[in-house]
Amino acid sequence: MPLDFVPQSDFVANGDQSSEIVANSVSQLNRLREKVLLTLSKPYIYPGETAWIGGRLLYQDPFLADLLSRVVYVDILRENSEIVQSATFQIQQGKISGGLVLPKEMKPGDYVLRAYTQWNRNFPEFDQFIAPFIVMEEGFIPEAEKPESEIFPNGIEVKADYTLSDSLNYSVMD
Amino acid sequence: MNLFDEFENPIDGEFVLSISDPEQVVEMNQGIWLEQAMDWVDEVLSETFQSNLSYSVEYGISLRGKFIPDNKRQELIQPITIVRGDLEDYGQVMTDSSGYCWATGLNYQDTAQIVVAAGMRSFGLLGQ
Repeated sequence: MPLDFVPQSDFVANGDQSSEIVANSVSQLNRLREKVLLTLSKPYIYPGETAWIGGRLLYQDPFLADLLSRVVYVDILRENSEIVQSATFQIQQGKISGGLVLPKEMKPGDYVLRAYTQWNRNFPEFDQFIAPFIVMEEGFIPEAEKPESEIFPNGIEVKADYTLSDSLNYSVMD
Repeated sequence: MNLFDEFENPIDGEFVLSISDPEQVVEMNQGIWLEQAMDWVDEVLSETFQSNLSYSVEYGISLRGKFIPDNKRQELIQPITIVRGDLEDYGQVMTDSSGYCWATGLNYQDTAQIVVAAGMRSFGLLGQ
């Protein structure tokens, strides 16, 4: 547009947005949904340990991520839905990381990790993250599931040998 | 690392590597898979869904409060100034016609000192 542009006096801006997305409020709301996804550093935790959590936000429309939440609430719940512990984490570039120090007197058993944002609470419950985890009795080590293995004939031995390097071929790990 | 789809077109993606010491942690099925979690993206809201969006988006730690005037002459609509620490962050919000205010966007780790003050410059500070 030239700097000296002057619109005609009878010009009327056409604000008639008749697209389907604007017409349907449910699909508009749907684009604003977000969901937390967390992972724990371990499948089970002992009382007094720190549960390290990492996570990210899933977005129905990733282009709107900038408009959406920057705070995640994480709760640890007992089987009877009683909240044992809560924490607040910051979302940085769509990711969350932090730790929850479990109290030493925490009873071993099944617990639930729940995570949500305040904005989530406007939407159905399946937008909240819920996952079970176990608090083990101190000192109890569960038996490992045997990994799948293959035996090669004629005494062939398979050794793991690999290197990791970045895009400039600098080795990042031995 | 480059990621491609089935037609060998480059796509935006992330590679996440998580390592734990098998001697310290026994591997168990946690039942949380990123692949399954992505199914949520296909779960659309039902056509009958309605919400008056009573919970706001939070851009940081939020503060909620109510301005209670000292005397009847003071209006309920007042500017509220929120200051974190030694002026590390500050902002101003207006209370609504009932005196309530809500502000979001404060960011801090661990603990922080927050000062909340109500008032207009012309009348001086009304409360802190």
